[in-house]
Amino acid sequence: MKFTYFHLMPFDGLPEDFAQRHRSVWVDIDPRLMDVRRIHHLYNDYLDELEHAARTGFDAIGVNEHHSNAYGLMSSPNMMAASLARRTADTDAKILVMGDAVPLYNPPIRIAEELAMLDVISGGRLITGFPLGSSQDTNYAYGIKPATVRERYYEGFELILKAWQSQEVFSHNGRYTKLRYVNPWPKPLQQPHPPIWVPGSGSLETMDFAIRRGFPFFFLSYFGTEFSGSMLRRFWERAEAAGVDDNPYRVGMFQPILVADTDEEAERLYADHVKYFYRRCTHTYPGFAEAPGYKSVESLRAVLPPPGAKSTARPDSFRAARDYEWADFINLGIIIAGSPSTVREKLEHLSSTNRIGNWIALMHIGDMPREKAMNNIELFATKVKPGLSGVFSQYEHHWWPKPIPGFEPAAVAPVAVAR
Amino acid sequence: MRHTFEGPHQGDVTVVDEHGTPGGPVVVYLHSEWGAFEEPPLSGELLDGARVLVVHLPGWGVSTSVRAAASLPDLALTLWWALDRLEVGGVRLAGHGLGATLAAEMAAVQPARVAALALMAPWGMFDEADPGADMFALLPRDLNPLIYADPEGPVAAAQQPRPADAHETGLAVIRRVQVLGAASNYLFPIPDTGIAERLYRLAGVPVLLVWGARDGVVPPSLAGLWSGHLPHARSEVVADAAHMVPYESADARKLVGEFLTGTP
Repeated sequence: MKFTYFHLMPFDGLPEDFAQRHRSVWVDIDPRLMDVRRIHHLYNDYLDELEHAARTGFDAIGVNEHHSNAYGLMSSPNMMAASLARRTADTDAKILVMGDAVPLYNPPIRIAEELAMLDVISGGRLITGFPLGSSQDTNYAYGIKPATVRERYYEGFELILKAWQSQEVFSHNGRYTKLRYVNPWPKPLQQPHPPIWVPGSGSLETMDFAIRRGFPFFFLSYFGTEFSGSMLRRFWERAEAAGVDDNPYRVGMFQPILVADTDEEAERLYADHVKYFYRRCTHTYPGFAEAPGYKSVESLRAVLPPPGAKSTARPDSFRAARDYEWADFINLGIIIAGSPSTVREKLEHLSSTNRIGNWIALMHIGDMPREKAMNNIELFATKVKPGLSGVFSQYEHHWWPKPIPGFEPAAVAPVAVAR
Repeated sequence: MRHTFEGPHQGDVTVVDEHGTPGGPVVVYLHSEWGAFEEPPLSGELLDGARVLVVHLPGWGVSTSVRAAASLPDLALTLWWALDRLEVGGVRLAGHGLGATLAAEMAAVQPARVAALALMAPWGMFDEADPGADMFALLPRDLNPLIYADPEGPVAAAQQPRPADAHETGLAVIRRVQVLGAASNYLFPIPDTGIAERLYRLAGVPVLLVWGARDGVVPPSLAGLWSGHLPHARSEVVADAAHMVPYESADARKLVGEFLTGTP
């Protein structure tokens, strides 16, 4: 089983009455709430945490991409990954870039170039995630026409793959991108290309795309694995129908995980930060959730309630989560938190029940200070992970960076400055 | 009578319903970004005096294809293609919202075929100083007071009936996503369609511009920008109406009917 320490890089200075006084944490959040001096420290703390996770034995460290957003200050995941590639050069931790939302880049060849640079700098430690991009980011922050997002994604995806693999300069005459000469320098170190993980948040189209193309599917949800069970079952049903094997490394799950010495201590240490996240960081104006045209009418028809059905509030909604207390987050499985044994048992159970081979662990949450995040990393790496690393060891992980035959990585060390 | 045209591009379906008086001058009516509702908002004078062709645009209502990358000038060519197949020569054009912008595009392509052009709350220009609300982002509860002068009144109730259950709520969401999703191809993220650069073609076309005084998405202040490009146009602002001006205002319908049929 593989664990990635993943960061959102949230802003920790949203006021307590944020949800009452402000419309949204995303897209049109009030710029006057920003404290750039504070963000300087946050970026450096967060990079320290990622580096610490790499050193304590996490299999990978992960960054992502958001725009105009106070819970995700990483508008450029590649920039963060570049820093991490150098600062973790003495570890074997892989670097997951679960960003670079393809429709946002024109030409998308920019993604092929920057990810190839990262793969080369890191000595072939890159794992790429190609998200479609949320509506908030693609449509509202970057102005992409909603109905074109998926078409742009598919076109850009194929262009990037071809650019990485072609041994010839070629032309691309697409609907959204036209390039007479496609010839990125360099290409990735990993050949034919770095592992590709496809993230999604419930769209069947994305799930089918991953299955069809033979890439692992990563389910991104802030409501935990319990609520995602039906979606994961649907993935495995569709995979079986497509004649794909049941290798658990085909599936990844995003999950907040918080470890302390005891279950009670976990509540004492982390409850306020969890509430900060679910009461302030996820307070998004519902109109920004999906621009008209972002999701197909067919997808909406597929979840249309039958005639006579009553309107009920979903427990896995940000609106409902705003009122949750620690016990609700635990009992509903939204977070996995507690002593090392509690966390280990839950992860083991959920992994085997849902055949999850990869966990993207969100272990810094909300306004958690650096020392608590470091403590969480330390406890997980030393007291939870060792008991789980052997799970699914009978399966080969086909979507993980492999050693490159005959390749000698550079020795990365500070340069001595002559006086 | 209903005419259905498939093409000219794969997936396009344009539907034309005939109303009014056969043999009268041809009036073409283009619906707004909200699609066609049960009854087209046409005055009795218009229906008595003209052969009215109500178009259902590709992507809306009965015409469900979505041309993801098409432009409004492309769509104008599609509509002339459909009218050619009906063997229609000269026309009087009326449109509401996105339909008004499209009517102006059609006139820019073939001005000699357009005897009169009535535009109600047309999209197509943008003023940073008075941008109007973002129709695509707002929830119905926030948007309705900006598109209806009376968001609790009969027009709003007929166009957005209160759902009885979760099924009807879902259907309302699907309809909204379909019509605004189709409109987003032309108006998202900024509803500046570039029409201003083509309006010089309308120098010889009589034009009526009508705004609802309380339109919160296409502000009446844009009338000045339109008139700047169409100095010969007549411009009217109608009280007690918002963006749904042809449905909300009998005065607006009368203005358009008289203008198009040439009756005082």
